[in-house]
This record gives sequence, structure tokens and C-alpha cells, in this order.
Amino acid sequence: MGRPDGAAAADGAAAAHTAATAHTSTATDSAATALGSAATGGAAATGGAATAGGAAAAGGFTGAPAPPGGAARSGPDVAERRLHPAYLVISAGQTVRTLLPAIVGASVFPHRWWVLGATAVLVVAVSVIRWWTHRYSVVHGVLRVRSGLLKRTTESVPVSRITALDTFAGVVQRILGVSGITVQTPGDGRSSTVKLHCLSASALAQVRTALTADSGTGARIGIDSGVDTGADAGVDSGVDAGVDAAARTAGRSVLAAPLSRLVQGVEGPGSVPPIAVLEVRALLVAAVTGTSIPLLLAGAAAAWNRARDLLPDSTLRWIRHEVLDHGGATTLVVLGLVMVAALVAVVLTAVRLARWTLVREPERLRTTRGLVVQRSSSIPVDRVQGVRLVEGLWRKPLGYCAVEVEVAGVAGGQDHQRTLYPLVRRAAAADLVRRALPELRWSGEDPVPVGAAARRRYPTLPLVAGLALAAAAVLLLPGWWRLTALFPAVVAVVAARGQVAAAGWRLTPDTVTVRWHRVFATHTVVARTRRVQLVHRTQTVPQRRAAVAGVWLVLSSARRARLRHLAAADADLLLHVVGRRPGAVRPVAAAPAP
Amino acid sequence: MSHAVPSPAPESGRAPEPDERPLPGDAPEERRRLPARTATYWRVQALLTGVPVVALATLGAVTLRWPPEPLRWTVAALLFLWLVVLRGLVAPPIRRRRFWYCISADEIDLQHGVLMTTRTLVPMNRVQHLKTTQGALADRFRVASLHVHTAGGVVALHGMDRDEAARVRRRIGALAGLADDV
Repeated sequence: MGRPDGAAAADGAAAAHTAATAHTSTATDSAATALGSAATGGAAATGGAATAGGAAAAGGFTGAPAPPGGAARSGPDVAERRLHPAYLVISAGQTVRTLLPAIVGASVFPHRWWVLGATAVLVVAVSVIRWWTHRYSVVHGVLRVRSGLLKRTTESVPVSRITALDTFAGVVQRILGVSGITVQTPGDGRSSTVKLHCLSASALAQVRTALTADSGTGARIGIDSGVDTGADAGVDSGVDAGVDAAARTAGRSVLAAPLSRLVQGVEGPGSVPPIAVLEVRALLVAAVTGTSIPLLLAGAAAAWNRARDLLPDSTLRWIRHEVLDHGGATTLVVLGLVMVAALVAVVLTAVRLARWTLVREPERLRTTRGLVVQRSSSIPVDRVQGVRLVEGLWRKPLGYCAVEVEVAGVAGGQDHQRTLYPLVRRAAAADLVRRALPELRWSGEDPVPVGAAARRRYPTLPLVAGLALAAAAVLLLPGWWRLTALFPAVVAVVAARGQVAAAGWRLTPDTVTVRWHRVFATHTVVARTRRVQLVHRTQTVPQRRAAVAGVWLVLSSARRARLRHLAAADADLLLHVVGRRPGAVRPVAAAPAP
Repeated sequence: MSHAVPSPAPESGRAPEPDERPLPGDAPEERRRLPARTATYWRVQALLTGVPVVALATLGAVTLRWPPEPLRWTVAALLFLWLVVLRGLVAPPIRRRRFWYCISADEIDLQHGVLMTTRTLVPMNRVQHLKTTQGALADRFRVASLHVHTAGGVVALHGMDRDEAARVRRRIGALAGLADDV
């Protein structure tokens, strides 16, 4: 590959720098020279790695930037360059969308055309500056994104730290023939995500090749996944290159393409046969059962907020008057609207989940999905800490569940990124996981229920909480509204039954399985025993008297597996075994007797 | 390893298996505890916020028209019980008695909590970064809080002796330079 000596030093530094967060953004207020700002920003972020990268990248910066979508290079590096010019359009669209309330407000003023004209000039200027100053490069295994004119920001992400790659293409992006890429690193959600909005198909393929070619760097040490990390980089990039041409056709001819072409995805599954593809029937079941009430309410709230920004006040007053001050017919209208909202939510969910395809590549899991906005996620198998089977309120009686992966940095509110497969028969889930993630070595056996003494204690909390809420409703609400007290009471009984039935665990040398029920959904987490981040053992005074304790496992995704009650001896066993270094793990083949 | 004899945890009904490596805190004599002044610090800290809140609630109970009078006084009484009696007077010594921590070369083992005691095990190679915090009041009592950040969340050691916190932070910082597997 002929890398300069700096590469080895950079990789070593990235590997040794374990206590640092994976990426930081640093601002330099003065217009420093490119080399200076790269050195200060990069050094703070990743130590020697970024400094070496910065020195090498400076040459590319002073020269002419490579044209977007230029010829593919032989090495995995990507010279510093700007995003595809289509970013101008998308950036302008984003600015207009943020300014929309102000624009609507300004259009009432007498000099509205001047104001709107000035705004348009401003929007164009901002877009051009944003596009001009936004540059990215992959040098010596470090992705660097620099942006900003006055407040300069440099983000450096060592490739070895990436936990997930997510490509997406919305309607506008597909018309313009570009797609975006999201780079996920361990950390807390938004600040640990780096986004490149507009890349041409060939630039995307190049960047993905550079970001997925982490195998040869040797940056990961001390892993125990059983995966051979030294192989298969060539296969991976080969797939990417093959997909490249298809992606370009899919992107460019989007308007003329038949539906089958449209749903092909940003990158098709390539030559590797998929593990599972979501059929139409399963898609419908998934959409109907997967549309949650919170999603519905969130959609309604968002629509109402938008409406408040856009609609004139008189119309709003009329709506409020009609809806809130009348009974009878208005109630029917509202019910009708709720039904329409539910239908829209189901359709939206279906569009999002359509053509869900799961592919296992040598070292990565890749999912592609979506009808309108096409998305593709790629997760290094080595980063997967465990899987989670979620049996929701409607899916559990039908015998279905969703399969999610636990990956650092992909936590709350990012369903689409952590979902491995949106709907599978519970009985077939173990088989799916075994084919997608043989490294997990999950036997697929169900967890063993906790003992009777522990099981007896589960109904207390939901029943007390439910009764308290019901009592509060009866005491505080007037008239017929008191009937709503029935709701928390019923939910409490259902939740208590579910919690008693679900609570269970199983421990093998490779995996720890915990199954528990929250309010509506049963969760089963299968985690790599040695990769659990934290183990808590909790005990109250009554629990101590009954020799019962709770256990709480935290994964690096910052998500939890929680058993509120199990035998204290079992809790101690889990505390002594789970998450500890290999030397500490004693093979515990048999789970405790029920 | 600093402790040679594996001994059962006092709350547990089961001794660790012979080939199961004991946790650092399994040996009671190895457990480190908080200085006695920490309980006083917690008391003062709780009362500094609790007393004004209860005073405000009492003022509200006397002056407000709504909600109904019994409810107003119930809220004030509950706030007094919770903020002054429980958090300010009863809980701090119990909290100090329940708390212990133990640091070996591989792991941080600690227990905290009043109503629910939580014992947490942090393998040393999970530690991402460390933070010490110290307010003006803590400064007067020469105590500090040490926060141990991991990819899965924060574990806090509250109310440690200031110099001890600095020592522990240096020790963990030196020990945590291991490979990660996030």
C-alpha cells in the first residue's frame, strides 16, 4: 500500500489513546493558516494521529481541491475536497426551512419585497459560504471535516473508532443524484455524529471504502469477538465498487426509473445474498403494529406547531373555537381526524420500512430500507455489543418481535439506526440472529424464569403506581373525567402480569441473556458477557430480608437490561462474572433452576 | 491482588465459587469509607436548600386561596418531612454508613444508596474519563466528588476527602490506560 511512516504512528496513537472521546470539535476564532489550525484542532482531538493527518492534508488544502466525484484512487485515503455542489441547494433549503416563520412574519410588512429579496440574497450567500468552507478528507485512517468561516470547526474521527455508517438519500438528494453519509462514534448521541450531506455516487463509494478499510490498521487491540479482523478488506471494497455503478444509475435516472429501480436502495445488496428481505405482508404487519401512539402524538404535535407558524391567527381561532367549544358533531370530526392521523402514521411507517434488506458482509452488517428517503446502515460486527428483541404491545400476541443491535453511540431516538430487522416471528428470531451474528454465539435458548420468591415481588410496583395514578384521577378530576382512572388501573394489571411472566435470565460463557417486561413491551437483551460496560446490583431492605436483589446491566449503547428482582445469590453471580476480564469468567453452563 | 482470602459478601446468601475471582470489595477489611465530616456536609447541604423551600411552602399554605387548605398544609408537612427531617437529619449518616468503595488494579467496586443500596462494578478498562467537582461548601468541609465516566454512564463517588479524591483519581487514571472494547 506504500503508506508513509506517519501512518503507523497515527494508527498507534489512535489505538493507544483509549481514554479520549472519539471526536471533538475545536474552534479557532482567528483566521489562522490551514496548517496551524489543523495542528491545534487535531492535536486536541486525537493526539498524534490527527496531527500527522493534518500535516499531510495541508498539502491538499493549498493545492486545488479535487473535483467532487473525481476518479477513484487506489489507496484508501481521500484527499481533502468539498461536498458535491448539490449541497448548495440542500443547504439553502435547510436555511429557508429554519427561517420560514420569520419569512412568513416578514411578508406582512409593507416593504415585504425588499425584505424577502434581502433574505434571498442572504440565504444564497450563506449556502455558498457553507459549501465553500465545508471540506472533508480521510488521511491515514482519520476522517477530518472542517467547516465554518469565522468560527472554524475541525472534527476528527479515527476510522478505528467508527461504530456505524449510515447513508441516506431524501427526495431532493435523489433527484440531484447525491446521497449523504452519517458517521457514528461512541459517545452521547448528537455530538458524536458527523454528517456529510452531499456526496456523488463515486465520492460516496470512495469515502465508504476509506472508512470501512479499518481492518489492516491493527488499531483494535484486546478484543474478544472471535472475528478475524485481519482479513476481507478487499472483499468489502470490491462490493462497494460494484455497487458504485448501480448507485449512480439509480440516483441519476430517478425520475424516469420504474418502481423496481426506485426501491433498489442507495446501494443495493451487491453480490452478497441478503439474510432477510421484508416481504409486503410482513411490511403491512410491521407498519400496523409498529406505529406507536407516541409517534402518532408527536406527528400531531409537529403538524400543529407547523400550522401555528403558517396559518393566520383568525383561522387558528376558528379551529380552536370549533374544536374545543362544541360537543357532538365536533367530537365525531375529531375522531375522524384521529383515524386519518393513524392511517397517515401507518403509511409513513410502511414507507420508512419498505424493502428492508439485511445483508451480512464479511465484517459488517448492512441494512438498506426506505421507499422515499432511502437509507443504508453499515455496522462493524466487532462493534456489536449485543442484540435486543423487542416484543411490543400488539406484536407479542401475534408472536412477532423486532431485532435491534446494541452499538455504542446509537442510543435513544435513533430507531432506524439500531434496528437490525423490523419484524420477525419470535420463534425465528434466534435463527436470524445466528445467521447475521454468528460471533455472538447465542444458543437461542429462552431465559430461565427467576425464582418464585423473586417473581412474587414483581406486581407490587406497577400496581402501586397504577393505583396511585387512578386515585389521583378520582380525587382531582371532575365528573365523567373520573372514568379515565380506569386506564392506569388496567394498564397496571396488564403490566404486572407481563412483568411476572417475562422476568428471566441465562448466563453462558459467551452471552448473558436478560428478559424483562416494561409497561407494554417485553425486551430480551442478549449481550456479550465480557463486553457489558457496567453491572449494578440493587437491594432494598425488604429485598434483603427475602434474599432477593435486582440486577442492572449497562451496555456501551448506554441502554440497560434490568431485572428488578431475582435471587440474591444469582445477582451476586452475575455481578461476579458479567463484564469482567476473561480471567474472571468461570464457565457457567447451566442456568439456575426455575 | 491486594486481598488473598475470598470471603462472602455479608448481604449475600452464597459464597463465591472457588474458581470465581472475588471482587475487590468482597473482603470487608479492604473497603474504604468516607470521613465522618461528610455526613455533616450532607446535612448542611440538604438544609441549605430544604429550609428555604419549606419556609416558602409554609408561607404559601398561610397566604394562598387555592388549593383547599388541608391539601396546602399536607403538602407543606410532607415537604418538611422529606426535605428537613429525612434528607437533612436522618439520611446523611445512613448514607455515609452504606457507602464504601474499593479499587483494585482491574476494577472499581463501590456501594451506595439509602433506601436502595446499589453495588456497582466498573472494570478499569471501561473508564473513559474522570472528573472531580467541588463547590464552595464542599471546599469548606474539604470534601470533593469524583465522577467516573464510562461509555455506559457515570458512576459518582460523592463526599470523598479532598486529598483522597485526588489520589484516587490519579490512581484510576494510571490504571485505566488499557485497551478499550467499545
